[in-house]
Amino acid sequence: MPIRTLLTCTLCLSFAVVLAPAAWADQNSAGRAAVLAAYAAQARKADANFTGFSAARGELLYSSRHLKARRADIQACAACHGADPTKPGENARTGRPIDPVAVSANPKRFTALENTEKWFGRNCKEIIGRDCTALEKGDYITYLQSR
Amino acid sequence: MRLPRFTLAVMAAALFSTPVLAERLNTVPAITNPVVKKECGACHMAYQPKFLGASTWDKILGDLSHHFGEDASLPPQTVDTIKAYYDANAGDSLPGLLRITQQSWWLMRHGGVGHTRFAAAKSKANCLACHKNADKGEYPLD
Ligand code: HEC
Ligand code: HEC
Ligand code: HEC
Repeated sequence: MPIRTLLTCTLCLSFAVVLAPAAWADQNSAGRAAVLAAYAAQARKADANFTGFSAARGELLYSSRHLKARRADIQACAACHGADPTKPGENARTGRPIDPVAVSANPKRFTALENTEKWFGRNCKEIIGRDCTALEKGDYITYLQSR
Repeated sequence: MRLPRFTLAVMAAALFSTPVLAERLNTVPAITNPVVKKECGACHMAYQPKFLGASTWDKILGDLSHHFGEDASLPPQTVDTIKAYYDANAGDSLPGLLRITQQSWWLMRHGGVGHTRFAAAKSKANCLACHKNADKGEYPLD
């Protein structure tokens, strides 16, 4: 192989190695921004005075015990997702490990609306006893994005 | 004593027909369908189709919003995909009992497993806690 081709190849490859993770990271943040934008639009529709999501409210939602939970032994999001969201959680019913939900520990979190909707749908009903509002969903993601 | 003998025969048939199946269960085909792996593997390991008969899978998949006390509902098209996979790869089981962990072969094979091991696993249905390659369909005897 001529030395020039070899050099170009090596150069290309090193670029790919350096740039690809950056491109993925971008895709993840863009995906998450789109999810948050969708919830913000819904929140604004529900309340014209909506000014933004709050990580503090999200933390409360995440860590509090909700007395309307369907099972008396599993009353908080943290029961499965862990008191420390940067660490792996564990499904309190089945024992199956769950990847961390803090974005710093798991950058792929909350990057697809279809997926977040499916799980908010299941878990809010299970733990809070009703559907979460768009405001609550945005707060929850905003909190875990800050962790 | 005609009736007891008949009952015994039926019980023996039920007992022996399922262990025949269990003989072949130390390895079962791993799940290859990505939708099944993702959707049925989120809350627990995705259980291999061979462990239950098609009609039992159909019952489970027909009522995902009341799934062993959990809401596991999915869009209808996704359920269809999953159902087709489980039906095509199903094993045999007697109708009635929905859980793998209720099948007579399962109970027999796990009769000697101690309480502390089950407590550590959190649930009987947490196959991976004791069979480390269960998600690949491997359940070797230790
Ligand atoms: C019984 C266990 C359990 C509880 C309690 C629980 N979750 Fe989850 N949650 C899961 C599982 C399992 C998944 C899917 C696996 C995964 O995403 O790693 C999940 C995923 C999610 C996702 C999707 C994340 C993404 O990356 O898109 C959201 C959102 C979510 N949960 C919100 C909540 C909220 C809000 C609560 C509390 C109201 C809660 N969960 C309580 C088990 C639980
Ligand atoms: C939202 C969470 C969730 C999802 C998603 C889910 N399951 Fe389950 N499943 C459970 C829970 C909780 C149990 C009860 C576990 C226990 O008793 O320890 C269970 C139990 C089971 C059992 C019985 C296990 C036993 O004891 O033998 C089967 C079979 C099963 N699920 C199949 C499926 C299939 C097929 C899918 C995909 C369509 C699926 N599950 C998706 C939560 C879920
Ligand atoms: C608490 C630990 C534990 C859990 C949980 C568990 N098993 Fe087992 N299982 C064992 C042990 C131990 C044996 C071996 C028994 C023996 O040596 O006779 C076994 C045996 C088996 C066998 C028979 C293997 C053979 O070659 O005959 C099968 C199949 C099996 N388990 C499937 C499952 C499935 C499916 C699940 C989940 C639904 C499960 N097990 C959950 C501990 C467990």
